Amino acid sequence: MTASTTQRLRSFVTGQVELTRAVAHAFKSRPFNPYPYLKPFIERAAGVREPPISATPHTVVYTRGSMRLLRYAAPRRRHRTPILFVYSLINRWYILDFQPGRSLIEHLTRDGFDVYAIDWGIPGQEEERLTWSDLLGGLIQTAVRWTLRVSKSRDLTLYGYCMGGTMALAYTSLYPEGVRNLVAQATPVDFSKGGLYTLWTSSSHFDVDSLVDAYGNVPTPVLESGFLMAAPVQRLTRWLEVCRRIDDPDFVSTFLAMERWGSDPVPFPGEVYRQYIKDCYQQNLFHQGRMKVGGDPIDLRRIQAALLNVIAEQDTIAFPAMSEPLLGLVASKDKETRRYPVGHIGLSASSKGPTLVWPSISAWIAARSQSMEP
Amino acid sequence: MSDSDRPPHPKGLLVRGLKALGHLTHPDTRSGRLFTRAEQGLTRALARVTESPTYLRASGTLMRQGFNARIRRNSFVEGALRSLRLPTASEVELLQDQLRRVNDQVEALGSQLEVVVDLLHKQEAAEHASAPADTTPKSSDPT
Repeated sequence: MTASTTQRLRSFVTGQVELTRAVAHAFKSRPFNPYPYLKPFIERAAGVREPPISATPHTVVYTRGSMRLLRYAAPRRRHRTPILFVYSLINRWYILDFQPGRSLIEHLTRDGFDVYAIDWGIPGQEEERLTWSDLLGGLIQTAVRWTLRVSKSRDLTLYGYCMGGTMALAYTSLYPEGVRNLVAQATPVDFSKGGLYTLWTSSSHFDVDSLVDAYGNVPTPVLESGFLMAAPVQRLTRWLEVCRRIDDPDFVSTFLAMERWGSDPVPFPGEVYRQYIKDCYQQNLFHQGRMKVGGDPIDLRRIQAALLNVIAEQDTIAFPAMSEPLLGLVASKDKETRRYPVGHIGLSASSKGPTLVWPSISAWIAARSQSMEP
Repeated sequence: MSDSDRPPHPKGLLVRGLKALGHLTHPDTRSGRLFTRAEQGLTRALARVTESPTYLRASGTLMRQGFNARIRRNSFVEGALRSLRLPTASEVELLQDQLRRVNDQVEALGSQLEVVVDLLHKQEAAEHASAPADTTPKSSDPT
């Protein structure tokens, strides 16, 4: 037996062992998402590896509980006004810094912005009792203060995405000081237009109290099962496209990175979820200005900051109809809605992002930001 | 080894199998058209089920019963472990969680210290800059 044959045999055996181990590991944790089961086969066939998470250089500026405030400094800062991202509590923030060359955060830092992002982390027992009041008046307010302190600026651009947009709007309504501009990207406002999600969370058949009382924080399988049931067939059949393009390593690695992010939900803080479902989905109080946080109503008419409402036309999570009423609810004089022909995640991770979506959003923010020049 | 030096990835049985699967289900092929029709039919059928009041009522009742059973079981298990003076699963989880948080806080403290040092340095520089001006004799003083 020659050395090369031995080497090939060894490589074959090692590969099979790795594959078996990866699949066995997936079956052990038994998630609903097909990603952990199919990823080992696709990786092996395409010869690619997962790219690193959030590759843009960053530092941790502040931490409290499971939350971290991350700073992505600009290589050449041109704007005094920093940007603070408030991401949703359902998935992880790193979709905003998806891949090198296809990252919203990287794009903004290259445009000269000092960028900050809240990573909500993995909520544990301490977050079970966290309320909307703690979230807005505690965590987001502290993140705003630290962002202003570190960036040496008096005000900032608050950039909310998905449920993070709802939180950013609620925050600005209660604490408008320091918020110069507001970007609400794929942000649900009118929850009666939420399609299947509104139907499934209806109080007549969804008992949110027993769910939160049973688990504390809402566990990821419960959240995952909801997304799976929204498009169960497509969740599997979209993997067929990667089979067809298995020879294209760029496509495969981007696809795997996207699926990894989609299969990485975190538990939802219990009390925040309880009020979110009751006040937003079940009674639509947020849209009516009657949702209360710490005794104060969230009245969007108190928002006067410049506002950009970003809508993804093919969004199937925060449907365009959920975001469209926003401009009519705020008191801002400088307000605008921009629509892009992408999906919910496409706003932050599609190939259209760097060419179509981000330059337009970045220019809107830049025009309303203070420059570094005296 | 750079990407260009790397030998092309071997086209094994797995690659051929995946490609065949992709080809057979491609909408341009006859089998793919059949597959697409089946996919659309299944999607419609599932949508009808998941939106039907019967399904929603039944799944809602099942979920509520499951959650309530879990509340009772948790309370029983934790009570039993506490009476035996053993750590409960939630206590072990809490400990792991706290360790992770300490790690994050140490990292953040480093960054915060940098901010403080930066501010101190700025203040020190300002003091140095103003110090010589104070000691300079006021030659223009008429007295």
